[in-house]
Amino acid sequence: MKKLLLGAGIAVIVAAAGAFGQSMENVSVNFRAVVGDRAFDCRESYDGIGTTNSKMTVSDFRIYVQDVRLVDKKGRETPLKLIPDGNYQTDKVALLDFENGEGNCGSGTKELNTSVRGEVPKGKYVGLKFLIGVPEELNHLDPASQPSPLNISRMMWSWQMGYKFARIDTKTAGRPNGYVLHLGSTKCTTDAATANTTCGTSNRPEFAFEKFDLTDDVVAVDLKALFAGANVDVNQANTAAGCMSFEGDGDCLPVFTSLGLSFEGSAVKKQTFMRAEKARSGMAAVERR
Amino acid sequence: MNTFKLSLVAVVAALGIIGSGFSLLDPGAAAAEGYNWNLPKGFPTPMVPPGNPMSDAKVELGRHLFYDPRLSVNEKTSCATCHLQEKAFTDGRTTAVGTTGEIHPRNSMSLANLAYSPSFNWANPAVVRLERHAHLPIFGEFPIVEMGMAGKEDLFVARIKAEPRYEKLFHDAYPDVENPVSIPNSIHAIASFVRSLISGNSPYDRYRYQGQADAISDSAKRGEKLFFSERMECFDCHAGFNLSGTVNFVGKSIENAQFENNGLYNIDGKGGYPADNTGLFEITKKPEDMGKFKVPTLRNVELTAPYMHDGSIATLEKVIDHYRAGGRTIKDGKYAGNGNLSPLRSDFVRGFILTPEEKSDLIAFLKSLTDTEFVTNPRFADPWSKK
Repeated sequence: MKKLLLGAGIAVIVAAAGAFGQSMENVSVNFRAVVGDRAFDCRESYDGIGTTNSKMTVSDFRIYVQDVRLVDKKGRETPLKLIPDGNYQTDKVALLDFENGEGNCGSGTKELNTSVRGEVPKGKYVGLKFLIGVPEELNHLDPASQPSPLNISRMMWSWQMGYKFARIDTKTAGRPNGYVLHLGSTKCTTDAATANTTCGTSNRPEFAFEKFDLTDDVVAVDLKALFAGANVDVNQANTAAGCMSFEGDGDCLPVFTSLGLSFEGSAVKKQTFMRAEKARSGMAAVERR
Repeated sequence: MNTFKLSLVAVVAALGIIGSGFSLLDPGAAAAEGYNWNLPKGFPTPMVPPGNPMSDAKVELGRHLFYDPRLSVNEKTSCATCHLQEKAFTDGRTTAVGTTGEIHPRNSMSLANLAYSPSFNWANPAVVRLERHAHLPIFGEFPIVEMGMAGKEDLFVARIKAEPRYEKLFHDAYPDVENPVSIPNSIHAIASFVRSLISGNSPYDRYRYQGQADAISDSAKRGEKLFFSERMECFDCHAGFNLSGTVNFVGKSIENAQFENNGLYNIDGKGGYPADNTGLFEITKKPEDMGKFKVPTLRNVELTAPYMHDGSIATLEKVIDHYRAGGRTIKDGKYAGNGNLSPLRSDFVRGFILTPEEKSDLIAFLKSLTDTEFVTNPRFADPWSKK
């Protein structure tokens, strides 16, 4: 018995030494909002959207990100430990905010947030993985009492007792009153005794990039690609405007497909919403405008 | 379904609605919390979630917020706009209207006795705490914009700070907090006020619980017997002291909310409801949940017309006709269908025979549930009123 305890003690010391001995580094994963080959801007309108080549303006564009992992060349994943900043990040979730409150984004905020910041053990990382979403253990708490960015009312989805993991509000030629993507968990019910909420459909898509260089690359988040298969000029009758993730709303199928999600049992395809690209190529895109 | 029915019968029996009344009220428990519910005789002590204990000061703050139109984006709409005290906190409209003019698909529900309710809204099994629910009308954008404050958190706080009366109200409600003006504290106070809205002093209560044999008419007494009869089965859903679906209170194991399909629609022969108003199905997407809505309290039902989740029945007489037929038949139009033939209709809504005299007795009973004290109580009234 004594030996066992002693052995366990040594194991703990070794593990602790390992953790302390590992030197950490701060890294930032950079994102960029685009519409096809154009940089995203709240003041602009965009042509050639969806199956009808519609014209679109955007009034909100925010996305929660969770479970960020860096991948080494053997495919091993290391979690990025998010650094809470009291604003856009807690230790578990970050909010990407691509709207600056200008132009069509009047209901938004002036500040932008286009990166996720955290620390990892020093090492050679070649790839990147993350989910769009708010971790389940945080998704159903009282949102008014949560730290930022979980206390932002426009990202709360009270109707389903959780958050909108992604909020992309647009107006299109055919839907001047709005065509949106509000992504979130659905089929949620709460036990009256425990107040624990469980959801039948999670809707947290994963994005994985085999090659991603933290210093040179950005994740381009592309609204044109998101809506590529959708007819954004027509809304299915008696359903939410665009897609609010509800089963039964056929407008969700093309956007869920772009996100790499299944909708009502549809086959999962590789996501097309985000791509890794060189940060410099993005500058070129901005200059072309 | 069987166990459900059994548990309902148990609740009814336990509360002594049918048998001789006995009180589950424990004044000691209420006093121990430091808050006096002023519970009517026969009413159990409501449960209060940890983290938002009741206090008179918090209820008073909540009352001011509840009646304050500055909580809406254009300062036109307060909680009380759709929940008027004189209508037992309903609004008399077929369906509600948001502050920017959007039409809600649903009828405004009474707020009476929500302290006992296992869930809120007409059909949302995820909203089980008033503290969560109070967010929805103020900040929600779906199914409609109600008060329109999404993204306006700073404006919300600024408006409250600009009103001199709030400083003391917040300080009294949250005496240990340095800067008490906040959205969570506001929401908690509104929840506390709504939780305080207890109605149980109707003539029927005086007759049934307070030993006043002549508090209701002979016609209402005959109506009571009909209501609680197996012939009509009203009480199988509208059960217990609250004449509602399941309730929770101190000293009982907690139940989830009760949702039922009462045969209002059968659009496709399979029990289909209008696509923008499918009830519990909207949330769960389970086929058997189509057309299921929360069983509301019948207290003050005389004041809460029009009826049903979509306000589609105008009068109590027509409501009884609906249940007498065991479902509604709509002959023409896009909602045509025979609700009685719906495979999803509750077994308790199967129809019955009722003479005109019995119908007027039943209505006399339902009207004996009108609690005049509740709808005139100054503690529940508009504190900003200059009257």
